Amino acid sequence: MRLFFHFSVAGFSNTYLLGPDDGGNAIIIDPGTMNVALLDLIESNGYYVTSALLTHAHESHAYGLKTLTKIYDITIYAGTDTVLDFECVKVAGGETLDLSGLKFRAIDIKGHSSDSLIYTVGNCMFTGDTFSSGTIGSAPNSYARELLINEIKSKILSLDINYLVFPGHGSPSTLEAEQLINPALSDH
Amino acid sequence: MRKEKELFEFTACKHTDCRLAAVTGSPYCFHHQKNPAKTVSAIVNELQAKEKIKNLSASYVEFSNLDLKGKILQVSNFSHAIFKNVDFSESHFRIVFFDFCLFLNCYFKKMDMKYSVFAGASLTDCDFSSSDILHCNFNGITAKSCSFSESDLYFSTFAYSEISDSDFVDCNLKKVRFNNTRRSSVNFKFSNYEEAYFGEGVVS
Repeated sequence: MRLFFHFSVAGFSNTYLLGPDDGGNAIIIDPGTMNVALLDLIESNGYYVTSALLTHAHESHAYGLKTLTKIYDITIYAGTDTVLDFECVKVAGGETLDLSGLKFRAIDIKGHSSDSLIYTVGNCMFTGDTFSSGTIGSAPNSYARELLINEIKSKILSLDINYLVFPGHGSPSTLEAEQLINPALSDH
Repeated sequence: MRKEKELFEFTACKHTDCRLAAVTGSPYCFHHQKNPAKTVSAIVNELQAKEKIKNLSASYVEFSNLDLKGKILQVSNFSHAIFKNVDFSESHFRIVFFDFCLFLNCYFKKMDMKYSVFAGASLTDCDFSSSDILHCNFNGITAKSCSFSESDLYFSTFAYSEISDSDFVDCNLKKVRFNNTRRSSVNFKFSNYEEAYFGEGVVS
């Protein structure tokens, strides 16, 4: 399998493309935008996007669906029934999705938004806006911020430290680095 | 039963109760190798022989006195490794993990580096000058006598780091985060530091 990173200047968000080494059905995570560079990435690797996983329904992570769905026949997976008027397969925390031979596990994390999901596959973790390198996601109030921190600590920091972290914004990280360096998540 | 496909070929060490990453070509991590010197030699041979390296796992491995100029390194893991006198200049890194590594006198000049992680690393006498270092994670590093001069550091982050006697001269610092850093004798001359985020921090 191959993992590609695409940066969207609109919203400064990260889109991830996962597909087989030799082309075929691919999965896109958080298509915040659809542009020629992303289309080139998909087509030049011989991919056909069959699934879109959304970590949450904010536009900077989903707006690219408007164009993507015109090009590819995509099933959209999210923590809610509809995103931008697109029907989605609603995913609950604890569910496992078998997509193109990859097993994605969804973990629901409340605080940034009510529909936020983190997806893990192998030792990779796609965290959306729940946390990024050195930061946690924004929250509408202090209660939601504490909820977010508690959810991450109880559901994520209890996992194996070997996870590689791929956030919705900013640079990648590792779970070990976030435990030790991210002040919102470290105990010191 | 179908085997789950892996993005990163991560395998945990087979030694009882060890959760460290197994080294490429072995079921064990570097600490549990019967012959660590042989393991290092095999990985060094692979690094030197191939121009394009993908899915290499070399956590905790010690590398010294190597010329690895012009390599293409993709989705590889060197977490907690030690690099002494290693030259990666003019290489191309994509999604490479060097978190908590120790780098002494290493060269990363004229690099094309994206989406790579150096978080928690210790860097002494390292030269990253004239490079494109985009979306890279340098959070929590300790950098002494390092140069990032004449580099494009767009969207990279150095938060919670301790940086001393180091240069960021004539760099693109747009959207670069230096919040909560402890800085001593750090030179930002000719760089657009107004476009970086400094936030809280200590300058001495």
